[in-house]
Amino acid sequence: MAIRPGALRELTDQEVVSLAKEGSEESYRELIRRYERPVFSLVFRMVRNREQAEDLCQETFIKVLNAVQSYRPEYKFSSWVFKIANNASIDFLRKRELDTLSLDGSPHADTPELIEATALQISERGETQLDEVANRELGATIEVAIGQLRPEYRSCILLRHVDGRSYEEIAEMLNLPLGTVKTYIHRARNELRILLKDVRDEA
Amino acid sequence: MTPWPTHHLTADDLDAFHTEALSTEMQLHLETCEDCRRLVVLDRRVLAMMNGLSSFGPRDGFADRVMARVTIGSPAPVPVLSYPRFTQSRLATLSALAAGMVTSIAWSTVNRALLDAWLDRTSATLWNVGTSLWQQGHSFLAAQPWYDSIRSVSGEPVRLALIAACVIGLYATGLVALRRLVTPSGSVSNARA
Repeated sequence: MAIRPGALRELTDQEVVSLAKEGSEESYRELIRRYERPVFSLVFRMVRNREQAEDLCQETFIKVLNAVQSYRPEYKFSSWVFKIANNASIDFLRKRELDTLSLDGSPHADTPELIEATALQISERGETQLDEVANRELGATIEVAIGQLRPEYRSCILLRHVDGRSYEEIAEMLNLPLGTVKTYIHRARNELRILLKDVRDEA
Repeated sequence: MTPWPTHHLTADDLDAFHTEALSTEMQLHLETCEDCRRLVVLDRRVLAMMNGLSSFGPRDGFADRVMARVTIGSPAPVPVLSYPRFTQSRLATLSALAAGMVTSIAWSTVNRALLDAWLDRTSATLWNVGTSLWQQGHSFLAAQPWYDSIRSVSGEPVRLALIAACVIGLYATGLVALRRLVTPSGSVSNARA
């Protein structure tokens, strides 16, 4: 099926996915073009390692595009892609057991009491060489501060304040109750405020 | 006199502040509370920093690397009505079938009385055999030791309704279990792809 060059850019995600379902390679490439940067940015900020981020991002798109025939149009395509990317990042971090062994408490702890009860009594978080490299590349102080958040907080706050997703959308993406998402985001903001309170306004 | 406890800005209030939807009560509080003002300023700075974060992209050729491992789905096949070709053997079979039907109808019309007699005899025989089987089956069941207890249970409408509900429940559970077993995991939700 021949599609006029540039015509795909004017279509909605759902329309592009419909064309992809019909076997249009250009539509697959258009979906990649639309989401490669936001998805890569999220994954890179999550795993803080460019090579790993690229691998995870690639796996995300392969998974999404190979399953495009089973995509259900009642869901937002972007939510689907971000959800898979986030799951991949969290799984990677869990495997790596570096950031995963959250020093702030169990990732499954929803209440402050549980988080406190499951917290490890370690005063300082170590930083690996990979983190140092990533931080140099990421640059800004805020990036360093984001890297110090626990992964669950990090994905929530990135989806909310970098990708502009609503609380409801994030809850659906991450399979978390709405209240938990709000709590995670506000705790993340609170931690960032503490980490950045001595930093002069970069703007 | 004991002063009213102070309510500082909550997380929701902070969100409301950033969307200019802070309640009048909290706006008044903000004017007088130094801690909350500091909180608001810091939070605004954090959000501004996050909004200003640059986006990153993968290395060149990312799309090609992905596409090399993606199987482009072929469009769903459109069902097309197809007619069988009329070969000689098929035509012969069809003709024989049609001829047989016509002969049968003609014979039935001519020998109506004989056909009626055959039909009456056959139906009477079938009825006798059926009745006899039913009676034998009934006497066999009645001779069983559990027959009376089953009959007493089914004789009470409440118990019967309970049993029926249990059977329907089991059937529904079985159906749900079967559906889960036969539904491909990919089509249940986009979520866990």
